[in-house]
Amino acid sequence: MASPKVAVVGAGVIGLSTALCITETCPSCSVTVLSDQFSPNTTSDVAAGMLIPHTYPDTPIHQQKQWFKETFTYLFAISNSAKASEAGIHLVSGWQVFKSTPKEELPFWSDIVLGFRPMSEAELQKFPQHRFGQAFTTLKCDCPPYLLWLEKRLKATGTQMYTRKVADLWELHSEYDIVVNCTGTGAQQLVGDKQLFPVRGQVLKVHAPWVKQFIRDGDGLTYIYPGIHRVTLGGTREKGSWSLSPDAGTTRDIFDRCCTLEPSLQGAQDIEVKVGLRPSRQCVRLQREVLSQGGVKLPVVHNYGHGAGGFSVHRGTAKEAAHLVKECISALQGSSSRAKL
Amino acid sequence: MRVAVIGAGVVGLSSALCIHEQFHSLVPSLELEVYADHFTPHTTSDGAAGLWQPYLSDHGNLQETLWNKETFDYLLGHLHSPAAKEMGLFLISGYNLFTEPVPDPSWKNIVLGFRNLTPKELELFPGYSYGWFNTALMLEGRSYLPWLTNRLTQRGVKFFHKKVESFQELFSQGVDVVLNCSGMRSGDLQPDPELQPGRGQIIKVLAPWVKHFIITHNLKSGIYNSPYVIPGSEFTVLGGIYQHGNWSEENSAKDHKSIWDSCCQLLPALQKAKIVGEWSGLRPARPSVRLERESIRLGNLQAEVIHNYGHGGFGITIHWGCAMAAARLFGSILQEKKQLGTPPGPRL
Repeated sequence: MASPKVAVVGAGVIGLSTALCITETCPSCSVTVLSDQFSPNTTSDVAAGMLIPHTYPDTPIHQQKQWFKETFTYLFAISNSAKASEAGIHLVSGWQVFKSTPKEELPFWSDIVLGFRPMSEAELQKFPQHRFGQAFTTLKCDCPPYLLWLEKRLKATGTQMYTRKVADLWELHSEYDIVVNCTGTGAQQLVGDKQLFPVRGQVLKVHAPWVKQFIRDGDGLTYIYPGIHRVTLGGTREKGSWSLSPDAGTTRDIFDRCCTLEPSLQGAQDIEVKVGLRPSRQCVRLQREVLSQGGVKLPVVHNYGHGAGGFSVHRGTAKEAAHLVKECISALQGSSSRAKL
Repeated sequence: MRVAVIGAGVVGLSSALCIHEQFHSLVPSLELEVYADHFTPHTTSDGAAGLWQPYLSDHGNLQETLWNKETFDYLLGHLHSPAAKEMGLFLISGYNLFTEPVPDPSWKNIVLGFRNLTPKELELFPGYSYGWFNTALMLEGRSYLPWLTNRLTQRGVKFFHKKVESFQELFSQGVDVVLNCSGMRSGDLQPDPELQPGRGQIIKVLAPWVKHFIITHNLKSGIYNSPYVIPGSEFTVLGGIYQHGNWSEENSAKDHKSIWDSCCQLLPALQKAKIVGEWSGLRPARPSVRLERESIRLGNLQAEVIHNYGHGGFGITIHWGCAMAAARLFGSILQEKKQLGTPPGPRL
């Protein structure tokens, strides 16, 4: 197989980074990205893009740690380079505060982020409702810039990108040799995965350029994440809700909770409300599958279900998906050479 | 009781406010006036980035360290007030970088979360092998000075746009006490060979992805002669110039290049930053802050001057501690003039 044709379905952070990894791992591949949405209309564009991992219940911790480390290392290098501002990657320091001391005082990622330590008494005084906290420095991927930068890198490799709603993976079997499924919430319908469920998140993106630090409540529901031009205020975790319409009561509630943590936000301007559906699953589905229909086979690599942790592990899962694509190619070449015999 | 403050930078305005807050209800006849030839946004304080950070060493000047602490604690207490944004006050974390290990600074327990940098963090800054991380405060002069001016105006303090040529000029008009907060130009009012300009130049850029201050140190070339990057609420300040004895307030092309090249080397992404301004100013440098009373005989009258100048590159950092010390000196003047039983405020 001279130039395997790979279709990546999905153009959020997972789809684009997976496509990029495929061009890096399999330079002979011809990669095409197909998606019904591109930045700035993907789920990834709503997310703040903070590198603070979400824990998947059914994935081994060492695997999650490896994915996070891979992602952090990759982005750390970009943040330190001349490309940082174009790629939308920047360092941000801040605090994670808890109303009651967490069971695990040291999360699995504490030695990967920078300068992780417990907050001092003096720092905790700023949060009278909270009794314990952690201070650290991590990275943020601002979207759209990061997605646009990935698209630019992809175009430079000759990757084509098309707006197209794929209703069935089989649609692609005549044009492509391998399909990579990075459809996030779309996977529920596309491949009938009932283990995938949306967790609705509403956020506010505000103009508050004096906010230079992140603050996150350890319960994951209230957070303040300063981006390049806007600060993301969150949020909600509404399991099973498919609604993409902003809710006014929720907006007020998010704003109030964030102002409790950071009173100066009362002066925030230009409040934009956004909604995203986290493509949630007990574990990320990162595996090969060979679909079969009437004697025709279609190799598929799944890479979806990253829920609240997409940005944190995107590069690590993208690399693994690229390896799975390589395995698919070997399998195809193996079977085609067997056919020749 | 007429009090004239000379100077409308951070020191003049905060001293005026501190005195008015403490004494206006106790001295019904108190009339406070501010005289200056430059007001915000044209003062030295307006050009400063506004980062709270003292020099590396206080040279044993414990008094200045205490004033720095008083200022930090005062500002920290205002962080959650509704006025914070209007004051230009916010938290900021960042890095101090060195090419060799150095002793911890006098202010390590004043700021929040002071610690040494980890090896991983130092990878961000090739050429630097040691450093600190801490959370401090920004107090932007462009917001703080108008805020102080508003508070003073509300209190009925009067402002006069004029260059005062001598202390006598004010005393002959019936002023009882003069607060000399004239910063760099104090020498025009009373010669002071110890007061020298510490010329600085800065480039203002748009680099909103930078969320930390980064201050490098070159122990051989001295304070602020090594690149620094300080992100503000509207733009980021690039600097690294300290020229002792240079009175020029003109921007120098040579200094521009030095700042630009060294800051871009520190943070390569700055090459893409848009330049939106440039400014030069004179830090009113002195071996120590002059904060003391001086009695001047004028005929059969005793006139009182409270000097509060020479804050170098740490005026914003130390201003409130000095304002309170100036207020205490004012209190002792009132006591002597039998205008007051005992001075108000905490006993120190």
